[in-house]
Amino acid sequence: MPRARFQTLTEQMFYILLCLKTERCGMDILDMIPAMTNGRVNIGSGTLYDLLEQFADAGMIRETKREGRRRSYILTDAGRALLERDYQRIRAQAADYERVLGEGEA
Amino acid sequence: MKDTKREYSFYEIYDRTHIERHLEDMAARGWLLEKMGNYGWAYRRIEPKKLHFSACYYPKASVFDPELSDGQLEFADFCAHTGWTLAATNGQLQAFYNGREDPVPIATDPAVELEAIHKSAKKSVLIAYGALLLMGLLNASSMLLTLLGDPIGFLARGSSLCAFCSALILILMGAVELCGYFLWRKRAKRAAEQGMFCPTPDCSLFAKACLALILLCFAGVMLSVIFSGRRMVQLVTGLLLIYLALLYAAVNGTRELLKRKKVSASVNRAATLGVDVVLGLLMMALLLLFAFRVVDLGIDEPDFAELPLTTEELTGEDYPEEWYFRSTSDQSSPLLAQYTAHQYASTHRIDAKEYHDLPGLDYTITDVRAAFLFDLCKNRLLHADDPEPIEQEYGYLNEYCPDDPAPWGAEEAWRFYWWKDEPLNRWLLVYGDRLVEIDLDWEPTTEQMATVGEKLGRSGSR
Repeated sequence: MPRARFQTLTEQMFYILLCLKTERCGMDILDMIPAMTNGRVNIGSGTLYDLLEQFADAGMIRETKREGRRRSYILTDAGRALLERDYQRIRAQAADYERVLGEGEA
Repeated sequence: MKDTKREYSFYEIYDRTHIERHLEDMAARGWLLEKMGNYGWAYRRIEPKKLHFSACYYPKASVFDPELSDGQLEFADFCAHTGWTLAATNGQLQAFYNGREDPVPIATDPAVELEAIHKSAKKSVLIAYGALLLMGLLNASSMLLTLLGDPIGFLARGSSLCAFCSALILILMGAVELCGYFLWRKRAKRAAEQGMFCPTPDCSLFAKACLALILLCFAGVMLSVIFSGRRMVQLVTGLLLIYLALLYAAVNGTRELLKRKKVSASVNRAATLGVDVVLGLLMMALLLLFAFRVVDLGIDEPDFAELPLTTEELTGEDYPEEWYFRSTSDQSSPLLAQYTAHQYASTHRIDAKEYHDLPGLDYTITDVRAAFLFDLCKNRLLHADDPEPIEQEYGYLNEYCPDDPAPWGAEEAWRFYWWKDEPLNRWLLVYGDRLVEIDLDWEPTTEQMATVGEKLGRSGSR
């Protein structure tokens, strides 16, 4: 069963929204995500471009300024709510993991 | 040594796997992609090097765009930030390359990429192959109706057979490419749900094979027209080809000119379509006018060619040539050949003073080259004039009945009866794989029947 759009965020989607807690332009996000995750998460430039368009169309982010071809975005309330919801989902997953496997168990 | 080269690409727009592989291979051999267009891909010479290529999709782009849009430039800026350089674009397809050892791919989310590919395909390959499939189905249906109505005439025309084969190839191409795309998309969606990319299928070999077959069919149609002996058909076909070439040049030229003038994509699209429609209609009108003019000038009047059998040979009479009108038509294909001849009194002789009631003669020779068609052809000819139910109610027979083949030197002879016990002077004769229909204005003698057999039968020439 395919996931409904943004019902569950992929790791790349999650980090894009996280980066847009404050106003940023797209290329800053490209550098920020690998830095934030110690290289664990990389996002392709094309994927970032497409996801920014999709988030903007869905009202999760909004464009704040445009300097030539550089556009800056920031999270909207809807985007913040979506991020919060996914964060709670991840926390619930982590809690389930700890409950089932225990903190000391590998 | 040349510093540029050009090649025609048979890759589908969505076949990123093989496009990337091919471009990487070309770079390793010292050729860097410079331009992609309708007339092929252009490369320039570089030092052979290992480059990574990425085929990406920008669905909002169009072949009518005068230049890269702000969105495309922004996309290119994003890619440049991670070391990807834009090599060339063609509509929604964009090709980037990167010289880094292990670059971060441009597309890292398969679901997002799949959506971009599908949006691009809907504007390009799906429309193109859908139109091809529809065109093939319409052409094939129309020709099938002709085949069912007149199978012998249809199968005896090389141009009809080739055109029918072309229509079938178009149907095959459209169906295979569309099914291929949707089957791949289904696999790709399942893979994307698992976070994986699904390689695209390579349809280039299939595309090349179909193109080769279509060119073969086209050559067949042209040869058939050239050897038809029909001047009007040859002239109209020649003019049509010239006009189509000019139309293609005009439509593409209009689009490219408007792009150079930086006209918006929507205006360019409308203008190009307008030119296409207007010139297309003009072409049809001019061809019709030309055809009427050809008929008026009598250019297409059949030659008074030598007939293999004439009334003079049968009757022994020697009539002045101008008393008779003679016409022939000839068509053939690898399956059947059909030759028809008419000899009848010229109309100008039907005047009160010097009118002669001259005997007339019609015959059609059908050579069945494909043995499996013989029974079909014979039965078709035997039952071509079967009466309608209402005619049967009035007592019309309209059928061939067996007759003595011996006087004709034939294997079978059938005589046409339009009414019970009232035959016409019309026969269907069988000589091996040759069927001869002959229609005379008089009851032939035994000697005349033998002459028909000698001239038109198996050993006869035409």
